[in-house]
Amino acid sequence: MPLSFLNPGLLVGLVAAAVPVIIHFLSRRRLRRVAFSDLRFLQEEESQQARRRGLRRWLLLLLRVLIIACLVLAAARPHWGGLPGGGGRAALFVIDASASMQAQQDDGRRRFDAAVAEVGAMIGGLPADASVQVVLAGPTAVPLFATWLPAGAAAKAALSAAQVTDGACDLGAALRQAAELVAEAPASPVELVLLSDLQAGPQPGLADAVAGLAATGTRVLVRGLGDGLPPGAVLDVALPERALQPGETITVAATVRPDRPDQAFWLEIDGRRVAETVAGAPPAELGTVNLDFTVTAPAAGLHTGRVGKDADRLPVDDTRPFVLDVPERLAVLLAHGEDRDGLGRGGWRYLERALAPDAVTAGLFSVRSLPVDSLLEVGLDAADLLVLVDAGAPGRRLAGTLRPWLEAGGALMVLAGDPAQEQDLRGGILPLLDLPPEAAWTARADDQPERARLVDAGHPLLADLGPAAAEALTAARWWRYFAIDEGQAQVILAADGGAPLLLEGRLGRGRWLLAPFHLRRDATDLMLNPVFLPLMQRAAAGLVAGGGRVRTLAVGEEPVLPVAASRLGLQPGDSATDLSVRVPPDGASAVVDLRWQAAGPALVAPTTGRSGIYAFTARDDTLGLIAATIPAAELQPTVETSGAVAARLQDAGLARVSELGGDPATGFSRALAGRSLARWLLAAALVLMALELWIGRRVS
Amino acid sequence: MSLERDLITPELASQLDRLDVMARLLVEGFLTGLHRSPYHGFSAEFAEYRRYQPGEPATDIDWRVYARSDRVYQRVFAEETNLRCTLLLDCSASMRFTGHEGRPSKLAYARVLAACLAYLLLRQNDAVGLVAFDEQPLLRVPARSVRRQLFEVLKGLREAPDGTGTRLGPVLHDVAERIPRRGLVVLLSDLMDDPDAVLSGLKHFRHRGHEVLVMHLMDPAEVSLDFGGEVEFTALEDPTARVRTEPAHVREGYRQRLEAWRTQLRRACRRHLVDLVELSTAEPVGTALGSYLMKRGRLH
Repeated sequence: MPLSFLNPGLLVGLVAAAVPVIIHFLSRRRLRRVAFSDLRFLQEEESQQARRRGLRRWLLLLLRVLIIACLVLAAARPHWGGLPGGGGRAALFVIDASASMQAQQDDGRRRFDAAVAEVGAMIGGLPADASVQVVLAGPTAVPLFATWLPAGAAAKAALSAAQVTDGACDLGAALRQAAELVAEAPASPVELVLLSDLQAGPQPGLADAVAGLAATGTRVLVRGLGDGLPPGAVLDVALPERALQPGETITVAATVRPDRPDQAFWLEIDGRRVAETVAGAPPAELGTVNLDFTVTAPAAGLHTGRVGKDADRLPVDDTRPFVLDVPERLAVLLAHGEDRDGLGRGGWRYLERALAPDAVTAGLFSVRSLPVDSLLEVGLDAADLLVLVDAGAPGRRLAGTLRPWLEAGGALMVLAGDPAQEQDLRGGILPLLDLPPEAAWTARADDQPERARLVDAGHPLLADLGPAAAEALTAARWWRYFAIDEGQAQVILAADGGAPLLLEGRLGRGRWLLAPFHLRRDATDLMLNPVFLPLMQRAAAGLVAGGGRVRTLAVGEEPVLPVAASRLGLQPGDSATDLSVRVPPDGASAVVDLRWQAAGPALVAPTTGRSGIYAFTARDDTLGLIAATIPAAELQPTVETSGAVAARLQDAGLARVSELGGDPATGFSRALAGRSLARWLLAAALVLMALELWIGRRVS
Repeated sequence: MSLERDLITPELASQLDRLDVMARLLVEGFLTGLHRSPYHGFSAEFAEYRRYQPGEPATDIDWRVYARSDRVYQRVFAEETNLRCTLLLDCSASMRFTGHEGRPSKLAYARVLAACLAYLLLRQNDAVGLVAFDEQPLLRVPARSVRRQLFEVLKGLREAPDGTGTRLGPVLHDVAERIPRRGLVVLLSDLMDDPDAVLSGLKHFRHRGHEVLVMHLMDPAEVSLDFGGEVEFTALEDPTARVRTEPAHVREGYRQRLEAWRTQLRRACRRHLVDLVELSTAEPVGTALGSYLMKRGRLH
């Protein structure tokens, strides 16, 4: 209830408002009877005045009741809004600690710093018996104080520990945290002040959070900071989705939003600026522009990079980090069925030769071929890519290992074209890849081969092949293959009849490629096609893009890096005593948490809430890099008004929401005290009295 | 004679002794003023001795009696009658109204007033008669001037029954037809009836040559309507008629309507040469009677 009374006990006096009503009815009971001489004039006058007088009489009665009610209410000292006094007060400040709060104000301060200063001023204005708590609303909502503190110098000093983040503001989480803190508050109800730049964006879970807070009767004051956000930003960086080779020319695509025409954007790798490009005028105000940076892939290893521009008032979104994995060699395990001739089961030797045509000069791929039965002995930890050629259905143990490995970021290529393994395909391979278990063996006459068509010519696998290669690929012929249902997978290449010949999909963080045919002459002549080698190498490189050693995530997400246990020589149950991580923003060293999952071990770094690079190391070896970037929600330059946010909170279910404008300390003090209604009620009583006298005189 | 004692107190009687009855018109050739009769001192038959009243002519004083008894008497002759007065007493239910417990009802007031007039007139050897009525004549005492007449009139006043409704028009017409000789007609009533019907009856008297005097009696409460709180008024003449109101709210309008009605009566009476005297039952009977007689005196 926004209405409170300083002397609620006096409200009992409202009973006195019934006195006029009682007198009215008692006077009606005391009816006097008079035998009169003649009623002519009385009847005429009464019939003329009865209706008007009746209305006036009821109006008078109402006025008298209202007069008494106003006087009693005024004596009870009503206040509109504010917190009731006497029982102590509690104020909870929720400070938006998202990336956008780092925008500089005209006075040179960051908005976050200004918000903290305002909170300090408001705490200074609270009475000594008040209690305060602060919630920093970043990607996660964190109470700043361990417990509710008395308002005073200690609480103000403790505000210095408040830190802004580079993540988004999860308002729902903040309000849920607030509801929990309100439940522990030493006084009730609690005044909650939300200080934010009110950046527009979705707020999932807001309704549930508001429901929890609304039940506590908390009043929310919304304090808007700043006047919008600068539009300039680097929104996204896209790296080639394939394994890179040192020295090759690659294109790094960036999505940017210039804040002026012909703005220069740069790209740096390992701290060295290697490319620069100019964004033309945006197609529309606040429009985005796609830029391509053409650079040479650095030497093998893990690299960090950034795309950026000159800093504006919000520097945090003017650069965007990324990590680049240039593997020295990709370890490929080629598992095949039992050989029957020199070509190998399913023609796996064609594939082995295509991936590693020259073992002496050592290309990108290091291929190890082995019967599928030996796969469990070797294990998948050291493999960047697993290729199965007519390997049949994976056994129970292999399947139990294969799927978690794939979901954790593994790469799998499957060639299955043996008609004898149709059941293996239906019951083993297709379910493993979450494809419908439908497979129909298709066999064409020798003189009626089927050609292939490019379903997705823009796919990275085919994009850079050129028209001659594409024409060559369409010249390849197929006689025998399994016609399968692509389900949710992406078809890259399909037979003229429509059956998919090359499918791609994702499983967890892993990627797979399925070819429902094998490399035997009676099935296809693809392996004799000049485009076969680059196609297979591209396919293999594309599957292992990222190499499992790099990740990109948004600030706020948990930095988790899956690693191969064999690479670290770890056994289940081991701790990460020799592991460490350098965390953003300044590369400070932190302790790594080693978490054993079904797919193997994973390294978990503490979340700092800042953008930059998490670098996991084991002694001097870098195990992997994670780029933490600004969430997309924080890159929106549009903001809402405090009134709009207040209305949204009200729509979500909060009954007591209002804006806090002007000087926050003064406004907050007023909000705490509320607005006294006593003088208004007294004035109303006087007006009603005058009205009663006037009407009463007319009646009498 | 208890009623006579009750109605005419010694104070009132002495007050009346100082007044002269001034008739405006004499009936059948008698002179107006001072009761001078053209038959005095002629073949009039001696009737009785009467105590001399100051102001009366000294011609009829019996000096021999004065010489024997040292008292001043005058001789009264039977032919000394010069006024024939008929008192019309309204006994309708509305006349029983009184606005205060210590105050007489209009009917009681009218009875006393009628007794006073009868006493006054008979003391001057005028003939006095009485008709009591409500919707119709209830009691008749023919006009005479004999000494016993006062007793008859007072008896009639006492025995007149309480009436019910009021139909002044027909009653006045009826009485006007039954009075054989012209004279003075005194109507004591609250006139609670249709003004046109009342005026019609009074005009009938005027038409037959009577001098008409209307004593309009009103209780102060009827005029002021000074009742407090919420009141349910019941009509005395029709107990089923009720009005529930707060007098404070209708008082002003009621007074205006009442005054308009009274103004209408005044104008109509003036137009038809009917004397109208408005009397309040709060005033002493003597004061009311005296003020009327003074007024009549000023007219002549």
